[in-house]
Amino acid sequence: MARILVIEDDAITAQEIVNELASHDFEVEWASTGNEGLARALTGNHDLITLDRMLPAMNGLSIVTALREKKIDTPVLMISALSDVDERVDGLRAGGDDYMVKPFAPEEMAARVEVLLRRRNPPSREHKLRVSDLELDLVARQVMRGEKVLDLLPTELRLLEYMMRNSGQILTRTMLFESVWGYHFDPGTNIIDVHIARLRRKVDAPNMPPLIHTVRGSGYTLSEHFSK
Amino acid sequence: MSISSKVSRTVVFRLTLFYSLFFALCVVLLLGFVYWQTAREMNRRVDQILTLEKRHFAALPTDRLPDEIDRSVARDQRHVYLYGLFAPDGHWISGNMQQLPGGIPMNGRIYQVDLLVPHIQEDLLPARVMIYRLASGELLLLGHDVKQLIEFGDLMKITFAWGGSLTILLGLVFGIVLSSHPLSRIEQIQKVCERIMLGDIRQRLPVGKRSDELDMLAAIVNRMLDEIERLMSEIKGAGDNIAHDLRTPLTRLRVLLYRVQQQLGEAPAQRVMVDQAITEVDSLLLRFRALLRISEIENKQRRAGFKTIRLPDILEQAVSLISPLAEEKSIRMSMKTEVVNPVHGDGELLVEAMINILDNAIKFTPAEGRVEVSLKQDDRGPRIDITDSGIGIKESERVLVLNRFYRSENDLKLPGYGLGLAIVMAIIKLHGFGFELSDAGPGTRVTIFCWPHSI
Repeated sequence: MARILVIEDDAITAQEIVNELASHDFEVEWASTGNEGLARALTGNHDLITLDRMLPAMNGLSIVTALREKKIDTPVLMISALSDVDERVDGLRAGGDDYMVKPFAPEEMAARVEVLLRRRNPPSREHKLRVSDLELDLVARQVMRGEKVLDLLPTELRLLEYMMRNSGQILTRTMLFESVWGYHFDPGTNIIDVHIARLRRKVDAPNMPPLIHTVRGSGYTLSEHFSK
Repeated sequence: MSISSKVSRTVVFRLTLFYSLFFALCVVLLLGFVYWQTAREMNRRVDQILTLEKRHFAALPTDRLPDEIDRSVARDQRHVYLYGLFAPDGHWISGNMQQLPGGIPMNGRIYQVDLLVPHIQEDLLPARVMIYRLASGELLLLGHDVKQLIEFGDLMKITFAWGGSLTILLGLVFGIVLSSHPLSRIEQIQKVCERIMLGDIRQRLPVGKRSDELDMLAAIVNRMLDEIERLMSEIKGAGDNIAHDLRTPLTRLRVLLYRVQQQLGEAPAQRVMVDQAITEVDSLLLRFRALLRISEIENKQRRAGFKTIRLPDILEQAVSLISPLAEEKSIRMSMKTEVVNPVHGDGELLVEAMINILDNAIKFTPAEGRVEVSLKQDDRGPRIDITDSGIGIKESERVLVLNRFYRSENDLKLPGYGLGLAIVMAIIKLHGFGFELSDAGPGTRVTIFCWPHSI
């Protein structure tokens, strides 16, 4: 069971984060000040830290910097009211692993935590990703479902790769947009849904067990077994 | 308005011209007075001389008169004196006047007349002349030629003409020179005002160091603009604050609904309602996010994030991101790009603007229509055209659609919040590019001019 440290000065936000993470069966600790958070992060053996970017008395950025200087590479999800791209760049440059803007939907936060935890496991050295009978050859950039070679466009291939690397995880539309396309604005339309639909038509042919699933109200997931 | 009519309308020019006319009149009056005085003085002197001569001759005995007159004529080297002694019957006795001119009363008073004196001048000679009868009955004519005075008068007339016209001419030149400065100031002010009218409320009128009338006026207008800007930002700030403040409770509301949704399990009726509630809250949150996004972009005064951008790449990315949306509606999407100069900008923001424009184009184009993107190198920089075969935008709505929340009548049935083009405008303004909506008959053409523009 993963241990997560929540560094957040606002009690209500902290409560939301703790509740949501607890409901995903994580062991959650809460530190309400920067100093306490840094002390616990330095000693405790956490799998992940969610960190408020702006804390009274101590800047979130300096906590990450301090951790990284001490060679503690616990993944850090930065949460901030500052949405500007520059702020995001600063947060990631200081050593944060992901950046979320307040206010956020808790399931989005949980999905990001899951992906960050997954990323911690060393990426497989294999040059192939496999989910059920779907296989992506990272070197040849070729995708096969069973015996059939799928003809994917470059964007579709990147999308599928990201979903396969995080198979079983819920991936929100924002996460897909940020990770696959690298943009941080709100596309304002259902672009992501349309891209997924197109990919789905190629990957999940009729009368095949579907691999790409819609998670209602949250996003998408790619997995062999999925129960609503 | 032509430059000459502009110059002639300035206050400085009119004042200068008025002054020079007035001055020219004064010069004429002054010269006239001088002439009048001089003429009077010259006549007085001539008359005095004539009176003295008369006295001199009157004192002489009659028989000595012819000799004395001959001597006087001989003495007069300049030939300005006229003498004539005539018998009572008018017969010439001596002197350089050999005929008694008619029309002059013989009463000893001085008259100014034009005489024919062949041995002095061929044409008529202006002269002051007196004739009087001596006690012995002879007639004595004494005269003095005033040709000089007439010549002096002619000289004066020429001086009037030259002096007056030179004064007026100099006045004109000075008027033009003096009014060119205020005119160039006015032109500067006009340029700034045009930019302000186009929405750049941060511009201020130039205020010089001389504190003249224009400077005072500019300072007053600037203070007024400060106040307007403050009020505008207050209003906008109030809107942004509402959006900002409502976002947190809305997010919490969504969290609660989400918890309810999680705990309901399989209770289909309630679950549908909760799902709907979440969708509604999401759409509200999306609207607030878009609003805040606009002010975020608008407040980006600095352009620190700007890099050299290759526009073909930007268009490529935007089109590849959005083309599935077009395919869903069987809309043919095409792109033509030329080699263009690189521009300075924020790539991600430009993609965001393109996505919004293309999304609109697709939304308002019926199935089987087309959307074309083209990139050309114009004289002044790259130019992007996005043309669709959709329903078009009425001319009357072309400015309105750029405003926040404005939605065309045609648009109300479609999903959206009317914030897309407002975001586009904010991005275009940040880059200082130009933007134009035009009719593509049928359909709409959006043009982005990628060079410094004032919007």
